[in-house]
Amino acid sequence: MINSQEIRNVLAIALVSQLGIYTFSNGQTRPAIVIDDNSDPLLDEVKKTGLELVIVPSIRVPIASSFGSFRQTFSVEIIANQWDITQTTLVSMPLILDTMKSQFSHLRLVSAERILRSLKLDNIETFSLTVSQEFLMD
Amino acid sequence: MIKVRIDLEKITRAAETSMGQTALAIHRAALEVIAEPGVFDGFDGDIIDTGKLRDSQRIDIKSRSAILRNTVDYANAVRKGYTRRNGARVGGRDWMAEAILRVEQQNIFEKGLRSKL
Repeated sequence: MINSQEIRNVLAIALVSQLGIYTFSNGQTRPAIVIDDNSDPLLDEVKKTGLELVIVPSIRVPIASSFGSFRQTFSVEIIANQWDITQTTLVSMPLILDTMKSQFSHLRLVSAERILRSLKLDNIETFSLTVSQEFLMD
Repeated sequence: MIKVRIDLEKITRAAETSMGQTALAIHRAALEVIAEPGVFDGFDGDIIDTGKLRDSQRIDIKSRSAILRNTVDYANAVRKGYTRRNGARVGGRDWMAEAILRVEQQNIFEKGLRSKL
């Protein structure tokens, strides 16, 4: 099964020079990369700067039948948020893609989508990519 | 002697026209969803704010394919959801996916095909 923690650790090393910073209310800081599975509730209270990576394990588990067998698909979405409005995620995306490809060759890239920054929506620019892995069910 | 043959050209023309009608039905449904209040969880109103997104819904029908898209620059953000600069998350409102669910594509295509053959 896809291991979100493993993905987090690999990306944290590969993007060490590009990741932004989480600054907590007590002044502590750490690289801006997190797994969004409610295991890190402090994140609502941190100040975010620069590139942030959010790894979202899928809560949807689609089941597809294939030639009579059943397969379970597990997926993980990797969201790159750029909180610095003078920067974009474009610089980092090739490195993220290359890292995923070289370190997790068993995963399939399902989709990659960029949401542009819009003054009208007052949003930040993000890029998300989804990877998946299929398993035969018992 | 009776010779039976298949008029592939006629079938192709009928299929192409029916495909276009099906795509048009999805396009109309998309416009309907954009203007309909309460379609998406967490949003009481419709998607329309300035009307620019609704007016930017496009359909391009060719002989064997049709492309439905929205040309406004923030369409993807509204469809997939986005994060505001203050950190607040705004959920996605995928009116295109909802439109596809609403349209009985197979029925429209089959009826169109049958009426032209």
